Formats: sequence, structure tokens, C-alpha cells
Amino acid sequence: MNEASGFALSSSLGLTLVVLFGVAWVLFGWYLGRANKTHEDFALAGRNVGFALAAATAMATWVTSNTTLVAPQLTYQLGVWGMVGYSFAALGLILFAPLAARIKRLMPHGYTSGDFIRLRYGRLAWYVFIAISVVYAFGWLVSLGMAGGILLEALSGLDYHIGMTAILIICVGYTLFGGLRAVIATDFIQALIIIIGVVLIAWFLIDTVSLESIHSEVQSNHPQLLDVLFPAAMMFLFNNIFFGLGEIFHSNVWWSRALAFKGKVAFKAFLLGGLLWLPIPIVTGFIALAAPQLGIFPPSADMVGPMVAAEVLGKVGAVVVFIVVFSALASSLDSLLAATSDLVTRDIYHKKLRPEASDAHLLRFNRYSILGLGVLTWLLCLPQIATLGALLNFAGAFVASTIFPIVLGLYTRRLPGRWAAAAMFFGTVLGLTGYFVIGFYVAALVSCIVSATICGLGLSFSRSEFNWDDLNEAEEQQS
Amino acid sequence: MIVELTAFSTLVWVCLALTACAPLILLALWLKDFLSKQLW
Repeated sequence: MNEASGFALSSSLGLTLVVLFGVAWVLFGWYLGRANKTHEDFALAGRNVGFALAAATAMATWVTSNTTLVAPQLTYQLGVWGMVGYSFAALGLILFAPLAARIKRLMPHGYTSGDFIRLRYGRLAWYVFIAISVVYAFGWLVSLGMAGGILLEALSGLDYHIGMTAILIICVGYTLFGGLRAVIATDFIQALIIIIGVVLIAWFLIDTVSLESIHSEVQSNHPQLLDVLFPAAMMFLFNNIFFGLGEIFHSNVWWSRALAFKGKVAFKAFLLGGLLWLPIPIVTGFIALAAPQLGIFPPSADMVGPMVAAEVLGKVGAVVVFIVVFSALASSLDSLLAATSDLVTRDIYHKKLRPEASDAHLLRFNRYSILGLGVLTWLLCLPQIATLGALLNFAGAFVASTIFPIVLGLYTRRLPGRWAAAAMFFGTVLGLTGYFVIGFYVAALVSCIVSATICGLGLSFSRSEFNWDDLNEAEEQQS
Repeated sequence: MIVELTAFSTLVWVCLALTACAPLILLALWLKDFLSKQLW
């Protein structure tokens, strides 16, 4: 710690790191963006992404503030189940692998997850789905923007608003110039930075404090954190599985990747990305268990990981934490900006408002959308409204309701649109009821169970048969 | 039921080793795609 200021880094060093990273990423995004000639190039990287970049972007996008800040927070609050439960979110990526291959086969010309819902289930389900997607996208965008501000403030004392503004400007900048191509290429580098940084921090922590002393301290003073029968934590485990599945299965972040990857790359890229991601929350999470021993009691639970690392490793550790978390935030924020702007451009603007828009017009509008989303996120981040974990789990009630409508929509012909719409709507409403009446750890669970029940009823009563060819929508080319 | 030290240490060390392998796997795949011009 810096004795004078009480922070691990000085404000000037924090700002210098931000500026250096910002300039590097924006220049890289501009360089890659020169290859984008059409809207398809910009939104889907020409539908030609190879295995290495595909696997890295799947893994890096899923490593976010959730993994680097919330996994330690949940370990600090729920103990061993917090980190193990968090790592189960890898199931989302692993189980999306076969879905991605099927999406690519059924919709070779598709652009977004909204395209699928519109073509498979019709207008009513599309409205419900878009509402869920928008709530989720903004929940995640705001949590990422907030995390940038919280991180800089905790490590260097820099004002929350400056850190939050800086990360948004950087991510909007390179996504604006380079589109999905820049997002995926930066994800590869960010994935390497994140993994190497996380391993270094964990290694030095074990070397300095030792696993024996961490275990002994927690067992003596906080034994519930090592209890495998901790009821709230077990509920969290199952809740987190459904939350992770819902996040990935519905979000255009993952659909746009499935559609952007080369022919047969999608399946193996998501599978490998999930397997590489699986151990990371445990490596970031166990760090939090050292907090009581070190006398660290963070003002906000989501800062426990960075504070422990900075305390143990000093200035070098703080710089590593800073770079890791900043890369993790950027790798998700850019993906979300690109995917949400695609939804706005394709689903709302092109399909609903301007069907005659030319390719060049759509490319321009897509860039305006990225800019608009950045500004809106910045405005929503200005008041620091909730902790990252609370904000994140609130979205669980929304996304878990989409799991069964998506899976059944991809694999069966019989589920009709009105039942899918009802499943998503009532799943979300009752999931939110569970969130407020019982607790955050049941929101996704309740939402998914309600949605599954309604989908089951829909399958029992329906006699309709969907024609798969209707998903392969031919693109009307405008000059 | 408390997680014993052995189980706790094994969990952390195994996960740390697996995480440490990830950059090597990604770089090897990148090199393979780069040499065969399959990156994009």
C-alpha cells in the first residue's frame, strides 16, 4: 500500500495505464477495421473466424467483471460453494457448443438471436424476447461500466466517474472503428493477459500466505465458508447454473459469434472456451478467503479480490490486478456493445423501421448505435446504484426464462410462438417475485422452472409443426 | 460438513495448473491457424 494515500497505486499511474491501454486498443481496432467493407464484415467479421480466435473470444468474453470481481465477492460471502458454483457457469459455454453448430446450420445467413425468435416464434414472442435482451444488455453494460470505475477508485483513488468514463470511451472507440473483427482480435490478446495475470496473482498469494494458513484461519473464525452444506450457497450453485445457461443461450453476444465462426469451428470453439474457463473462478475466488487473515474488510464486497491481491503483492500486484481486471472488463464490454448494436440495427431498425435501407446505410447506423449505447450506459452508470453481484443476479430472473424456448425452438417443431412468449413472460415475472420475496439466489431457478413448465404444457397441447426452412431467411440486397 | 485442507488444496492447485495451461493451448492454436492461413 502507498502509505501516504492509502491506495496501492498513485492516481497518476492509474491514469497512465488507462491511457496507454486505451491508445493501444483504439489503434488496433482502427487497423483491423480497414478490412470491413460491408455491414456483414463489420457485424459478423465476414463469417470467417478461425478456431484459435474463436476459442479465445468465447473464453475471454465469459471472463468479465463477474469472474474477476464477483467470483471473489461470492467466495467471501458464500465460501467454497461461491467459487465452485461460479465455475459451473462454464456449463453455459459447453452446452452452447451443440446449439451453436445447429444455429449455424439452420440460419447460415442469420445475423442475431432476435432473427431466430422472430422467424421461429413470431411477433409476440419477439417483443418479449427483445425486452428481456435489452434489460439484460443494459444490466451487464452498466455493471461493467461501474466495475471500471470501482476498480480504478479502489486501486488508485481516482474518482469513480473518471474510471467509468475512461473504460467506456476506450471500448466504444475500438468497437466503433473495428466492429466484431476488432472485438475478437482484442479478445485473444486480452484472454492471454487475463489468464497469465490471474495465475501470477494466485501463485504469489499461495507463496506469501500459504493455503494451510488460509484454511486454518477460515476454519477457526468463519467455518460456514468451508461448509459444504451451507444452504444459501447450495441454492446459489443451482441458481448460477441456470443463470449462466440463460445468459449464453439468449444473448446476441454468443449468437453473433456462432454465426461469425467458420463452418465447423463453432462447436469445438465453444467447447474449448468453456473448458478453459471452468477453473478460472476458483483461482480468482479462493483469493478472497485470505481477506479475514489479512485484516481486510472491504467497504464493498466486490472489491475483496483486488484488495487482497494489492495488499499481498504491493505495487506490482496492484498493477497486475489493474491490467487483468481492465482487460476482463474490456473483453466483455466491447462484445456487448457490438452485439447489442447489431440487435438494434438489424432487429429494430432494419426489420421494423427501414427495410429498404442499403448496406452502407446499415453499416453507418450500426456505428451510431454503438456510440448511442455508450452514451446511454455512461448516463446509467453515473449514479452508483447497486453492488455488481446484486445487479447481475437481478438479470438472472429475465434470462433464465429464455433457456427452454431457445432450446426447444432449435430442436423441436412443435412449440408454438404464443407458448414461448408466455413462458418467457411468466418465467420472468415469477423469477423477479422470487428475487424480491426469497433472495437473489433463487431468481434464475424460479424463472427457469416456470418457463420450462409452460413450455411443457405448450408441447402437450400443440399440434402445429414448424418448417425449418423458414429460418433460412434470404437477404434482400439493397444497393 | 467442513471441506478439509487436503480437498481444499487439491481443488486450488488443480485449477491453478489447468488455468496455467490455457495460454499455451491458445498460442499453439493461433500458430497453427496462422501458418495454415486460417486465422480469419
